[in-house]
Amino acid sequence: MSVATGAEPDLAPVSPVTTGPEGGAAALLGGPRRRRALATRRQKLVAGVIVLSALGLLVFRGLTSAMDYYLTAAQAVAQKAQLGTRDFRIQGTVMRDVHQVGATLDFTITSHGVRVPVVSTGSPSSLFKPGIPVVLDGHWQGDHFSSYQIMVQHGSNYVEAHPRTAAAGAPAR
Amino acid sequence: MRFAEVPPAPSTGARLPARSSLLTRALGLSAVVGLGITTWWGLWVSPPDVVQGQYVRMLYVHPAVATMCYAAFGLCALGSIAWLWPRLRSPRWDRLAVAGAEVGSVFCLATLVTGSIWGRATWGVWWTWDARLTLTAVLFALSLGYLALRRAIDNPSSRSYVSSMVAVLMVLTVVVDHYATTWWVTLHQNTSLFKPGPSVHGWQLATMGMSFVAFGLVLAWLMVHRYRLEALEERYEREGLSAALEARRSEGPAATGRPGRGGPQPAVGVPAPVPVAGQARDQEVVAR
Repeated sequence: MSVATGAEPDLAPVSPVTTGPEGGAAALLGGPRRRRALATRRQKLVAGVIVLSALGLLVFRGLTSAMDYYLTAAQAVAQKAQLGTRDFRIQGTVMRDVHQVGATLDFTITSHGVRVPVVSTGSPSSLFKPGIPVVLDGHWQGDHFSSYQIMVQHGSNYVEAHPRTAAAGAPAR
Repeated sequence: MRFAEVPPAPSTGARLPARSSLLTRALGLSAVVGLGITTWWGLWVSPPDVVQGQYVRMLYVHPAVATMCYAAFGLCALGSIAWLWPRLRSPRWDRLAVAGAEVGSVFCLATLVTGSIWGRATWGVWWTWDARLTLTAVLFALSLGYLALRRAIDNPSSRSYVSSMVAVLMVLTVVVDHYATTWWVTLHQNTSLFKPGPSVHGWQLATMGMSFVAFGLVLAWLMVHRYRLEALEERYEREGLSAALEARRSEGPAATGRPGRGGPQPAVGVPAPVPVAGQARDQEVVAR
């Protein structure tokens, strides 16, 4: 809305930072510019709430699960009574007794001399093999660990498989 | 102020330096050459790994990209802290900060994407909530928050002040993220390079080193251009506004030849503005 006064300043509506005909008296009366400003402020508020909520979720997930990402097989056996049948992650090195029975994979993991038999329905990556450390999602079921996800853990040491040639490059099994 | 709200660029006077200099072109060319050498060595020269096989080739992308992400956020924090320091306060530092944040967020996204691809191939999952991954996601969210803040606050001084605080928070997150694999148990492996006695050798080490050089050049090139863009944007706003003011002045009384500070005259055929009731009363009082 514009109020004709007949005495507008020379340089009134040249840029958004100056108060133009819509932003002067109209703003005081709750005109469209004021409504737009309120809408913009509301959008900013909603955007801020979304960003903060996302951040809060990430931090919450981080604090609750990331700091104690897994228990070693030895720790899991020691805490078996407290863990009950709730889900947690267990870590250990795969032993040689890997058997595929239909869609399930039976094997044993070891850590600090403690062995844990595993029955898994998860499909591991192609790096899965005896001797490689794995992290398993699942829970205790009787005397074995029932897993639904296998994650292969690899170290930070890298060794060239075939020095000076990249020809035969299938992942080592 | 947004571009959409800025008056048209001044058609007369200063020409904005929209083109890059010889130095930045050389920098860009070096980055392309570096990326080319990294690709060549990474795909054809470097051999596969004993454990990871061909998947080891992600080693020539992901660690370098992640390190450049940290470096960009480091530059952002440097600019922000310098801006907060009263003796050093200058728009240049603010430009460095915003350039670092924007380039850093691009590298952070690239880190998440390349890490996710590598994770699916080797770990068997696209994503998991371990400390390193979670903190990198937090860092990315913070960088988006930083960029959103820069757009949300109109006052330049308040904008720089608030975003500087977020930048300091981001660089603290970078430090914790870097040490996450040391401080906590994670699925993510520990560092291979930045430790006494690196655990990468031969062509793998050479290619990894080359990738750091190449992505470092990319970072420098992006930083220079983003910094220049920010400076141009500031200049555009300043000069665009000046030009608009000049144009408006030229439409005023001086242009019509009338002396004094009278308001703009109605165009031919347009009725004269009707004084509002209050003004008419005031005029009567003055007349008496």
